[in-house]
Amino acid sequence: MSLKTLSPMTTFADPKLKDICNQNLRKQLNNLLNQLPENELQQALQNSFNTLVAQILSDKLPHTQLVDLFADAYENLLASYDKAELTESEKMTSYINATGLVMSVENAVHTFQDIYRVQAFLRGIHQALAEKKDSEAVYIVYPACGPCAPLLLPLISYYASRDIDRQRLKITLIDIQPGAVKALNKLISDLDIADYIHEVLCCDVMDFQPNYKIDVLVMEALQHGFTREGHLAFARHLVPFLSEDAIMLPEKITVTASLNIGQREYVDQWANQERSHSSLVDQDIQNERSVLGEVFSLSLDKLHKLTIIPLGDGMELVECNQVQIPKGIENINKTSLLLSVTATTFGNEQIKEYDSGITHPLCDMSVCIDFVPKAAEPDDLLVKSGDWLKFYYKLSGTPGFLPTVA
Amino acid sequence: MDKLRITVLTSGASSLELIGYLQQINKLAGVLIFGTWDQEKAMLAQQLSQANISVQSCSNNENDTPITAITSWKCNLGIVFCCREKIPLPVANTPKYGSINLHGSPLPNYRGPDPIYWQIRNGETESALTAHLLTDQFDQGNIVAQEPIFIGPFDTANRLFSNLIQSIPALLETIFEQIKQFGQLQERPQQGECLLTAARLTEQDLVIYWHKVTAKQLCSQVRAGNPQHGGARLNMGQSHAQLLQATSSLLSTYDAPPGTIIHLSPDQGLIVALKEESIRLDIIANNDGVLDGYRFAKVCQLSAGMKFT
Ligand SMILES: C[S@@+](CC[C@H](N)C(=O)[O-])C[C@H]1O[C@@H](n2cnc3c(N)ncnc32)[C@H](O)[C@@H]1O
Repeated sequence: MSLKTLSPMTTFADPKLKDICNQNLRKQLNNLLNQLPENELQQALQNSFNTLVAQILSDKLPHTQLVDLFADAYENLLASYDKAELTESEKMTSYINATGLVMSVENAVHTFQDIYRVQAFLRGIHQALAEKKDSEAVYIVYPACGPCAPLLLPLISYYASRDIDRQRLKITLIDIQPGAVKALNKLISDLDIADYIHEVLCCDVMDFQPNYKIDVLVMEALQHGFTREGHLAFARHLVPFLSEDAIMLPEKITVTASLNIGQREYVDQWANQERSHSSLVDQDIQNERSVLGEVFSLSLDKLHKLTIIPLGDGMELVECNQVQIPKGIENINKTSLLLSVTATTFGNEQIKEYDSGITHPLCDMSVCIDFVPKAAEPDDLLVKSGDWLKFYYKLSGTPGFLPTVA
Repeated sequence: MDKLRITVLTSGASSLELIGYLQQINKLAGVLIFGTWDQEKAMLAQQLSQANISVQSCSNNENDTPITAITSWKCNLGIVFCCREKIPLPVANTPKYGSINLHGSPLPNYRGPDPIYWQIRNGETESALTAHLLTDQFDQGNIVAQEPIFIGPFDTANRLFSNLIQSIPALLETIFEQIKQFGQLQERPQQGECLLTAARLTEQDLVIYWHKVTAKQLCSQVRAGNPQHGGARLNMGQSHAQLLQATSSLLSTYDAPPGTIIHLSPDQGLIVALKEESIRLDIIANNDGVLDGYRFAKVCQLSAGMKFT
């Protein structure tokens, strides 16, 4: 089986489907594991990573070719993960802490399936590092990197195979899950890239206080609609540790609000598609959207200028933009508020709407425009066309936007 | 004093222990089974006949049959126990000393058909087995005797019922003593108002209102429904399960909305946010069987961040 049958919106794939995929992969893996000696597995892993990276750095590949390359790398990656022999507790523990969700290691492994996101980061980091080519040492920090640090390690494996920047790149990988760190150490050893690794830390990003300045910050700790995980909290915490000309990837994350009928946006639009991607959206349906405007954007520059409102109990709000709900739109009471993330990892490398799990528009059902819901929920917000919606971002165990009527 | 000959008026098998006890102390005259005939009643009748106990089934609005039975059994006291049917007053008044109902609460509180459930659900720590005279209104007659009973923090409905049963001999002793001393039952009116009632359970009562309930209340709700009603209902999307045991947890919710899973691990189990506190879901039953919180979450592919509805 290849990745072709997997939904690219990994976060939203039906849990059952996902499980079937996993079981099949596992079976295949077992065969693989039983056949190949350890060093051959490592070789296969390195080869698959290096081929993948060589190809995506040189060109934007057609979808099927990209999927094949990723599938090959993914299978080898899972083999390394399996060999790390995590305990049930290391694999399955998940929880919510002060800054957001800490997903189980078992789930985090599968973010590698989100291929356009991985591609945009690998290409972006490669270009960002080119800008640092004159530095003697480049401190790269990848917080909340998960068990595979998939947005960086394939690139490093590729560099290692060409002996590029060995010892000059000083990478710090951080994850709060002991299982993730165990898997990372196994992966680093299997990829033979220890020369590039400054340290692998098992700690809360919020407790990380480096005694060096960070030159490149690689971070992706968010889910669709910029929710659930601690991306913004982590970014705020790390600002003081950034060097003057630090690069943060993504360079920019933008969240846009729009209105559309859920059925049109999420069902009709994809009725004849096997997967979702920005290149496959239905232009007619996109034209039916009412774009309200930018709710929030995150860049290094913005990060220095956030307006924070403390709420007590350690909870804080970040002030965001306000947008107006237009008047005179037909069927506006049937539309829902969509929050769409797009990201520029670096330069021209973008993750557009629907390219990835994180850029899948989030439907905020709590905002009721020109109608009163039949079954009221405690956090419903009743608004009328013409109203201004003022957004705040909630820094808490369940981070996300909080729309209010201005 | 004549020898006491007691008839038990009941509608279900839960009265068996009382019947057995009366037979053992040689005071049982017979058993009247009220209500629409069903399998439970048929089995009860059969069991009693096999033990050579006189049994009579009685349909609801017909007084001759029970009165004839009471008379022919030479019964002088009626005890109504675990009876969902209303006993007609002419029937209740047939025995010389009348009839008493045994109700599992410190009346006047928890009048109604489900006192055990509601006392546990409301977190009560003290209950009582009350013997009162029958009147036209359910559970409102004068009190004849009362035995206090403690409700322990882990007592389920079945545990409390067993404890009520165990206090029957002491309660009856008081009653027998009254008849011996005074030649009649000593009654006193129910004192105070009935502030808490014990309505018959509906499916609605088993729903968990994550936004409102406190940890203590939810633990009690679940305990009250365990095992008879399957604890409380656990819903997520289209899936349903029965929550059979829960325990307060000290984990912070970090402001996660009520119903959100805030922790899942083999070591600490399945912990869910409430409005201000959190709660561990210890034991859950579904089609697969009875599982601990962690295993339930695993088979249902739940993880932190997901929300019960
Ligand atoms: C989605 S996963 C991996 C993300 C990674 N960028 C990727 O693309 O695969 C997120 C990881 O963040 C980690 N994490 C969450 N909160 C954290 C925190 N406060 N400190 C350190 N790691 C954290 C989790 O343990 C999890 O492994």
